[in-house]
Amino acid sequence: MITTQGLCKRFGDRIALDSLDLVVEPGEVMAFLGPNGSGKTTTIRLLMGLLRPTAGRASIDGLDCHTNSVEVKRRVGYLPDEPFLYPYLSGLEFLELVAGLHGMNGSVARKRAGELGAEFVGADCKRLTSTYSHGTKKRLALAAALIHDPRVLILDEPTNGLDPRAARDMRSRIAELARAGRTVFLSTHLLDSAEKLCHRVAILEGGKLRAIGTADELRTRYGASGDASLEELFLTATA
Amino acid sequence: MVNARWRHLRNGIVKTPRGSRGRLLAMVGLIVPIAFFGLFLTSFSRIAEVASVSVQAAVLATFTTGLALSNLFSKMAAGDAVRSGSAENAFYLSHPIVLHRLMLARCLGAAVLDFWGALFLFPVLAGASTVWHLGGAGLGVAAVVSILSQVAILGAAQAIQTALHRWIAPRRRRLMWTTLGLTSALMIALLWIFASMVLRRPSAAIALVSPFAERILSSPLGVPVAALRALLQHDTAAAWVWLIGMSLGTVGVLVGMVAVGRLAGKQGWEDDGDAAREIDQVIPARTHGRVLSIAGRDWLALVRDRPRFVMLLAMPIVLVAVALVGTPVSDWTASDPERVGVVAYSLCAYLATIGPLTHMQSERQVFWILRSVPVPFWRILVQKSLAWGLLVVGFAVLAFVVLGFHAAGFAFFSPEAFRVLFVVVVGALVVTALAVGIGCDAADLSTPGRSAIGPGTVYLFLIVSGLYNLGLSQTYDVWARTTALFVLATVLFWMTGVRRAEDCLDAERLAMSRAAPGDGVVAVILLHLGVHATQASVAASGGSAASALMARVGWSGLVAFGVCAQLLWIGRRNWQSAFSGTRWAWRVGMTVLIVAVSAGLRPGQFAGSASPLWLVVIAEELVFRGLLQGSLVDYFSSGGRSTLRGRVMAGTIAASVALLTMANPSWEAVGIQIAASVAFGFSRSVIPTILGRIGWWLPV
Repeated sequence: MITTQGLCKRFGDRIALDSLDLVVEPGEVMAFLGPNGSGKTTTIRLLMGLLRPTAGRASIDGLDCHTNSVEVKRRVGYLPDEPFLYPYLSGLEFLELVAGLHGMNGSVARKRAGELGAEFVGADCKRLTSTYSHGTKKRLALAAALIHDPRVLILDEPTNGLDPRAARDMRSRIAELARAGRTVFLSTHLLDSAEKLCHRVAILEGGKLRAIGTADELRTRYGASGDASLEELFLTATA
Repeated sequence: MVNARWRHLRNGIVKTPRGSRGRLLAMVGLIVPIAFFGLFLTSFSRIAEVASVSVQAAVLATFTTGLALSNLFSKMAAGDAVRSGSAENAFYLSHPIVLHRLMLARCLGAAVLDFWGALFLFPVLAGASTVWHLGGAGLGVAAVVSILSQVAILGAAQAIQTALHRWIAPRRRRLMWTTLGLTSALMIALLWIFASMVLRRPSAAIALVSPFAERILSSPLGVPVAALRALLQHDTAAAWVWLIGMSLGTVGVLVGMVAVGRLAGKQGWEDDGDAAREIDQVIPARTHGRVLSIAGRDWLALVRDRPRFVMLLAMPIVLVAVALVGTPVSDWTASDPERVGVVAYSLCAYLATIGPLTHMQSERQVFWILRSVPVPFWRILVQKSLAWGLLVVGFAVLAFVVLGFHAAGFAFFSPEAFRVLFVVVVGALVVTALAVGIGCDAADLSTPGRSAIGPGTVYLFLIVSGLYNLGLSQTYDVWARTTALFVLATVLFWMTGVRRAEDCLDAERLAMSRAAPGDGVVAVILLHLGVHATQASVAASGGSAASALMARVGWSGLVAFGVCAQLLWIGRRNWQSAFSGTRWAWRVGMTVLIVAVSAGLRPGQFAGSASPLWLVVIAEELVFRGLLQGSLVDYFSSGGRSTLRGRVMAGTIAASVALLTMANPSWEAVGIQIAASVAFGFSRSVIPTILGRIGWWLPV
């Protein structure tokens, strides 16, 4: 469903991403792990067409993420790491706007916005987004990412900045979406979240892919014991 | 704080990759006060020739007090000092620093570091000191008075902001900031009116001030100039007394500021001073109607951000009032519909500068939303243009009507007035689209903290939008050609803006971006304006051959300079494209040259045109072919390779643009432009086109 082939991105002399080859199968939940500055957000922005690759290509559902970006966006829901929102729109209005931009007509858009607003934001959805807490903004942004019922979700640090309860709530929502058969590609540096949610993990460091596979495959690869945590595997892979 | 700010300033100018821009801004910041000093010196000298010393001093006092008050109100309106969420406040106040100490440090630090701020009164006072022959002592007094005034203004502004923030309820604060902003705008407008009088019509300033001269000088308005007056009267002791008095007054203001800071504390800062967070309202769900669009979103954002909405409406209205009250414009527009149209269009172009041109600034952090939806970006720009167009066109009509009412004898219901109104409305629509396109073209959202739009973009927009004014009061033929060029410029900036929006989040792509059709059209406009100016100066030179030649040399040199500056700026990125294939291009070019000269062809397109100089031929080819056509070929390329269709379209557009800049082009001129475009299309080099045109032009 998501494929990258030799994907590279440079910013001047700095290589943010170096020849990334990655495949995410349909219905899979893959965690993209790495320390800060390893290239996770760069990869996600390349997948969303927000950045143009220096070399290589990225595709989603067989469509090139750069040249067919409009079609890709019909199939993908995106949650950025910092979900800044329009301060002078209410949550409902924001969802209605996004629904309209995905081609829904007035009544359908309002109905869908109302349903998702009530589910994800609750009573606050009629207030201006500038009054929302960080967690509420994330939930609203996730609702916007789901408004068009996409088959692929790309989530950049979905639990970043959330309190423990909100983070648990976010994880359970993501798990629910994955059970519904969506392909989920999420980046995180929180290893416990990845361990609980994902089928496979890809470990990135310094722009290079260090390891990819299920937790068991990584244990075998690095000769770790059967109960070795993902944190230990990560530290081994990036040593 | 002083040390940290100094290092920050120095690194910004010297050490960053874009340090050259910082240096350029520093140079501009140095040149502007010098220019202002010269301007005021000239005007004040004329006042000094005819007015008594007390009237001179009263004019100076009114001017400096106006400057000080507008400075004070604009600083109060800025409100930065009380934004607890601002990075600087958050940094310092998270350390063991109390608020009133921070306020004090800001005042004193600004006096040291904000060079042009601290000396904001210096050009005016130094100009007066020079006219009064006060020498070094006068300049010293001017500097001290300016610094003391700045410190006092900063102190007063911070005290007032802190007090208002502490004792005004959150819901009233937006009204407070809006009121301060409007007052600041009004003060600036009044200052502008008076400054126009002093600088352009000193006799009017003298007439206005003379009856009140003594009262002005004996009031607080006379304080900024009291020390200079004492020096003029050779009373050094009195000058010292005034300076010490001003210093004590400044200390008093600072003491008051510290008292307010201690009393108010940071109570009330927890709201961040963010206008949006001071809104606490429930928005009812929409139940019918069309789905909320981007245009609808822009309108909602505009009307809900009431301070900004009021400022957007108020600023141009203040300018209309200035246009009515300010004598030069009032006389100029009287009863002439076309001139009323020029002023109305200029005002709505100004509104476009502070409105739609900055649309990408408001997208700074939220652009990911529009980039993650399956909507082509050109449609997004159309929606934005519709939203802003409503405001700009509405204002254009209002300005036209109000200015028309003011102009004596203006016939509102005449065909001429309707024609001009139609022209103004068309201009307002197109200038809105132009602002949206240029705003997108110039936007750099790749670096957090950097403004999406810089001052260069504003000036660029004013140059391009000013093109419409050029034709507004001319014959139909000139208006039609100028409007066509203006619309084409808008389309090209639109095309560039849409393409650029794909890369505005990508620092790598921005750094390697090539010349775009928008760049080409700017060079065309500069060239067109230069040629137009050359023709005007030749006509004004009265037929003397030597003065006509000087005019042509001078303006052609400016034209070439402007174009070369544009090319050099862009040439960092793709200089090679204009001179690619050099070796065989030279061969082709020399062949064309030899054939043209040998065939005995007569000089063609320069007969009766602006200038016969070679410089203009080279400038035209660099602009129309090298820059415009070259960037269009790149634009229409597919997968990095140019196509025949792309080259044909690029050549057609470039030749059309070149012909639009000519008055009554002959068939010969048409043929030359087509031939040059074809030659460039195949060779991708300007060498054969330059040599070909020179060969055609050389007399035989």
